[in-house]
Amino acid sequence: MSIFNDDKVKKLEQGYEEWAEERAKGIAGAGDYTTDSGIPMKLLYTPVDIKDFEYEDIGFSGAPPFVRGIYPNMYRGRMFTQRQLAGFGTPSDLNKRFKYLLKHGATGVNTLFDLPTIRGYDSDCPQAAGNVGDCGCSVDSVLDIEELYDGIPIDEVSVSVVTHLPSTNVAILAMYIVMAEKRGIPFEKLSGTNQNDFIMETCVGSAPEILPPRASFRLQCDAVEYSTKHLPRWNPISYNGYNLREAGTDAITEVGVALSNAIATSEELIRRGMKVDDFARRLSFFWDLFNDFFEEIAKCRASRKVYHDIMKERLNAQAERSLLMRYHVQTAGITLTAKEPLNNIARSAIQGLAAILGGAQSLHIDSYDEAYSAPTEEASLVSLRTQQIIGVETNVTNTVDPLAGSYFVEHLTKEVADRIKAYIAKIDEMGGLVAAVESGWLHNEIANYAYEMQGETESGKRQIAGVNYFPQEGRASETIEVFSYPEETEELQKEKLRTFRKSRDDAKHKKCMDELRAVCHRDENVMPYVIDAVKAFATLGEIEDVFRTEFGLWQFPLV
Amino acid sequence: MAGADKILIAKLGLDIHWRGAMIVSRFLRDSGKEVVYLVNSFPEEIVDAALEEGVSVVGLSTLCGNHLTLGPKVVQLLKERGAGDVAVFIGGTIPPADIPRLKAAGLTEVFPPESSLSHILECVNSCSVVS
Amino acid sequence: MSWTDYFERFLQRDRLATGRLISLLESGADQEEVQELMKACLTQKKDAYVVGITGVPGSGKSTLIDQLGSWLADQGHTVGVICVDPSSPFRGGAILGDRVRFKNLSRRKGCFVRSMATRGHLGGLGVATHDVVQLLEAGGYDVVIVETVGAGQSEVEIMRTADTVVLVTVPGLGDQMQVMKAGIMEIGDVFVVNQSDRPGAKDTVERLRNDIAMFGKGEWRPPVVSTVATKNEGIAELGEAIIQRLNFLVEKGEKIKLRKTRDLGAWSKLLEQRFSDSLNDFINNDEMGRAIQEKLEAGKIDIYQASCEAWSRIVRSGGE
Repeated sequence: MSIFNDDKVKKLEQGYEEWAEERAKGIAGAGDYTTDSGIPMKLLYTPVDIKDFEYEDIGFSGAPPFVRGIYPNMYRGRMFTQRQLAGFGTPSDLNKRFKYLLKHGATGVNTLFDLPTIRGYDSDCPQAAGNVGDCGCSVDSVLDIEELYDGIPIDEVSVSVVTHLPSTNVAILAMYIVMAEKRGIPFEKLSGTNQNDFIMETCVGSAPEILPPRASFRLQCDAVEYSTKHLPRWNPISYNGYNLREAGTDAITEVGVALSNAIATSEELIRRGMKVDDFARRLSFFWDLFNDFFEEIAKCRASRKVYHDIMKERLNAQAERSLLMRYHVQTAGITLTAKEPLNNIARSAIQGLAAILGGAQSLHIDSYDEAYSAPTEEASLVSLRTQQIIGVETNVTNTVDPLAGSYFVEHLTKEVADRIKAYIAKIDEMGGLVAAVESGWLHNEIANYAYEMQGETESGKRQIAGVNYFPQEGRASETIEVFSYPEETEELQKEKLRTFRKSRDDAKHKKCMDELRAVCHRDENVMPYVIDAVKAFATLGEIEDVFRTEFGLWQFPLV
Repeated sequence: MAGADKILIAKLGLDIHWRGAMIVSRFLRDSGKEVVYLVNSFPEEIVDAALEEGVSVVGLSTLCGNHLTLGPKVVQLLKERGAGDVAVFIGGTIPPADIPRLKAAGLTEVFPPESSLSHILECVNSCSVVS
Repeated sequence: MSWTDYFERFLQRDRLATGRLISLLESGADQEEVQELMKACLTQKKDAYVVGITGVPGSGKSTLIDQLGSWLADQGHTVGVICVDPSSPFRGGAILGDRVRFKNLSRRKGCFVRSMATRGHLGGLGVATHDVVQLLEAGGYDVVIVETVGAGQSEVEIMRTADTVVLVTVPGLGDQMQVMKAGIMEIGDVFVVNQSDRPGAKDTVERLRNDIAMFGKGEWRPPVVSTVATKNEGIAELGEAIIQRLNFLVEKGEKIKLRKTRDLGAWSKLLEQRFSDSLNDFINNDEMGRAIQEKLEAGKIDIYQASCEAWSRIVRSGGE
């Protein structure tokens, strides 16, 4: 029995047919319209389209199934965290940028690392050459972590440490812990997030050396297990739908894969003897926000519903806190153009608005110079202001989930939720997400979708203002200031490494590394051993070399 | 079916974004080219492969800012090994201000974001086959 | 530049020179240059050991070859590798992605890795492969490994071009019987069960040994070797088996015979290609050829008559 009166719905159905026949037939705009992920979009939605709708399907805010939002008061109680990504140069360069953003009202810090750090190479490694300090901050050791967060009140602000890969995440998390201990900060006060997603390590990004998916997944779970037991306010994982989406998937796949990962993680931790209610409340998610305004909002709402259902029905979570999904959103970088870059301010503002209408906990708005380089201070500020405009000037945050009840949005939310569930079932059939990645299936999905999208853009089927929709020939791109990476970073980091290595106790270092090597082959959590290695002054590259040697390397599937 | 042009496509250094390189490779294949697809490689490996495979064009893909450091290195190594007639293209997140510097360093074509696939193919076709 | 400009350096195993000469062979342009080059190669009078390696996709062949090649290089051999990938039958292009797996081999001195596309040759191995093998041989590579896609027909092709055929499989790969049905068992000289750290490896090895015993291959008893290429396990055993086979071939005078078979096979393929080109030319460009085609299309004659008429035309014109 739905929220609608059956008789009235029947009458409405008739009325709709009449309207369609008398007023909407043969008029302009005929044809098939769909959302980005292919869900059909009708001309007009009415209660008939959601005639089976029960209010319990969405519930109240802050109550299961949490479709309307995970807190009763949402943004009234707690404004979304305006967390702008920052990352470049040496740790002290980035430290300055943190202080700048905090001074201008940012309520959290979000750290991006350079490629050598992300993939676990010290700055003086041959593989690091030419990449140190580009696109992110360079970290080689615990000293760098100390420098990075020097003077930042890490017990008061929320710190997101964007360690994409589980293999480097264990090392950097260990360094963070050691740093906090040295500063005398109790672990219960540390509030923050790691990304730590094996999909990033083995699927989304290519690299010269990659760990096998199973090994990366193990390290992912090690970090979650350790953090659950020792860092009560820390989110040890942020399932990364964003980068998967950017690589080339639609909204359904984005969420389907992330939730499959959550299922796999939970099942593994349960195997290790934990209870789902111990760790579930600290699992978090990271979504992309693309251009299809309503589909993205529906995706946000639908993902909360599917997560709730999985946690409750499949994993048997008992605590309410285990059933609610928290997520950070980043607006879609790949939709931002190099041509006429100032247009990107409009694009990301619209995407940011959708994120808030969808109920995100924190937001990063991409800067207008996204297609050129890491953001300049100026561009970074515009992004922050965009968030603030949404937050304090539009009044959208004064009421919770304002789009609920829209015939279209509720219909779309349900449709998206159903499709996500079907996608998860498909992955189940393949033996779970790790198996689906090992076989190269997911890589193929990405490659095919990305190739198709490119075709649509080039043919003009997918319209982009200023690029293939009324492009201005001969118009010079705005001469915007483009950020240049500081060039001395590599030398500075190399120098630090030289001193660092000299200052350590070699015997102690060797012992810790040997023990780390050994634990790789046991069914035991690596974290305590990584922490010991960090305390013995092991560098990031050295720890990663152990993983590469002990777990072996895996070949990225050819697509 | 003799005489299909042969091109090498590589991800430059540690850059993780493989979508663009994959799309360009597929498109070139569908246009009848033979593409040696290298995934992540460093300049020495790229040049070794270019020589062994006898390619006319080396295509570098990077979205992470190492184009000015590693791109010219590839050009230089090719020259040193006597293969200065191999054209080197580079594509990815390249700011307009860097394009003249790259060209001055010997990169024949630079493809910033939104370069069309057909334009890339045109450039490939206008490169002569090294003999 | 002509081939002579590169030949000196090619004999020193210079990568650039070797690469360019192979490209010349592949391009098929200017038949005269190719002939001259091949003559010059033959005068070097070298004799390489040609090893064909094939198997199902996903069996880890490339990683295996990378390790095997390194082992052979450690023993003092110079190793050339040709990896063959299929060209798209419709548009003729190809993505040649095998060489990424040759991490060790492609950097070693005295080793050379080249990708080749099949370019529409039905057999799975390009027409030029035979020439490239002879070229590498002349250039001083004493072992030349040819890797193929393992799609069925190409295995038979390798039989014609290799001294030793290595067949790679993995534990529990579907139905072993399927492999037998394709007639594959008959062409293998050495069998490898790779990824043998997976469950079922022992059974797979046992079954293979039984199957081989059933077929028999004359005097040579094909060994079955277990490997885990990613961990470099079993590679030395494989290398030794391959060298043993070489010794066997030389002792029994088989190696020379195989070389002759190879040359005959290549000659036959070359003739096939020329004839096929001629035919197409006749049908599409020759006035008489087109006339016959029109009659056929108009239903005035059937395909057998058309065939007879075309044939007598071609024979009369001396095959031009």
